[in-house]
Amino acid sequence: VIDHPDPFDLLGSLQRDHVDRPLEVDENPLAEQMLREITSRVPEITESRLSVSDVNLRTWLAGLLTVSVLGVGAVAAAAWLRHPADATTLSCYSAASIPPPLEAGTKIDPALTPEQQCEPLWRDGTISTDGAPTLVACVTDNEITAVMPGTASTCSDLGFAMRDAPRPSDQLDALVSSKVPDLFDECIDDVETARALVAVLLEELGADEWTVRIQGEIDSVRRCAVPGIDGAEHVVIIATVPAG
Amino acid sequence: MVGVVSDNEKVERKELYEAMFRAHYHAVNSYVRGMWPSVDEDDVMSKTFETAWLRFDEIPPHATRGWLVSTAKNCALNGLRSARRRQTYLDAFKATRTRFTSCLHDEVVASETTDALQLAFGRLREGDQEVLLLASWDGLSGDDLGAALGCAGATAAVRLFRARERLRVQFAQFGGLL
Repeated sequence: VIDHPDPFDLLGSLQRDHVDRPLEVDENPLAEQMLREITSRVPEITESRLSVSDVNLRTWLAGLLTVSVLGVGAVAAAAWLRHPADATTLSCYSAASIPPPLEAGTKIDPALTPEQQCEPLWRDGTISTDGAPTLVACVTDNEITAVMPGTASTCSDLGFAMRDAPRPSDQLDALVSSKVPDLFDECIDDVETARALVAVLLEELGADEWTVRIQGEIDSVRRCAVPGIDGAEHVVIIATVPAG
Repeated sequence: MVGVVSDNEKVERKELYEAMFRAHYHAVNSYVRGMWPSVDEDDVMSKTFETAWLRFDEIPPHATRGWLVSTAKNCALNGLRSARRRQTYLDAFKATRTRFTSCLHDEVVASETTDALQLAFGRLREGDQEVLLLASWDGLSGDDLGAALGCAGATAAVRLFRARERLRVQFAQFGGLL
């Protein structure tokens, strides 16, 4: 009876198949038949010649007209609605004023609307215990979402735009914002390791717009790397802090 | 325009393809049989190598096996007719773990050790399990591993490193002897 030095090696030793062994000729009749059938086919390389027929041209012009009409509406709506550059940060205002008497900041949860995320603060005593009034989500000057008591006109009264509907990319941004800190549960004492881990996560999430920036070095005092999220610039900033 | 391929080029292409087919047939077959026990194995194998024939010029020579494994994975997913591919994939992965569990018997390894390995492996998330099996059972590394996972080779190496670390931690927690 032996014990293997590493569970990964042990795992490999339990593989029964000899995956590196080449398939011998006539070893497997089904495989030989598959090979013959596949290679008997000649790959066809075709390139269709595209031409714009009168019918296609009419369709194209009709589409262009539709887009133009919709575009005018979109421009008008854009002045009214706005998407925050930072779709990861949320502020809950206790009143529709600048600055508000109380402001609670949090990370956006893509599973909820911004209003739904702030509502509990009006019940749990953070802002109130009476329950939430009608809330509206605006986009502030610093490009984050702020939820406050009011209606659509409240945003414009404060010089803000009303926040538009969430976009698919918002969910990704929120995921980055929530997942990156998980990598740093334990002290990482090397900024390059931290950068590599974040880069792997960003790639796993498909967060192509995001980059990693190192801001600070590990030394005898600042021993651990910590992440910061710049949702507007789509940057994960790796800084350093003392351990513990 | 239709590309003109000479007879000599056709013969050479066929020979190169056959060499590739024979070199990787067992590896791809092992992957399909082990990772996708609920799909039609012959169908996935056939479609995988048919795709390889049609796209032979696109297969990276330094990551051929990884490319084939990735293609087999896509063919298996297509074969599992389901509205939600992701869920299908996770379900299939659960089936993989079942098979993995049944394979963990070895006359030269202490049963306590294989028990610890089984428990440790079961505690890992699917992504870690996948990269560990691709590396240890399918023999993939470097660019091959990256091609199978759909990422760069260096990224795959980091993922494997982290998965191995987590396996070690879990293995030790379950009493595995390191």
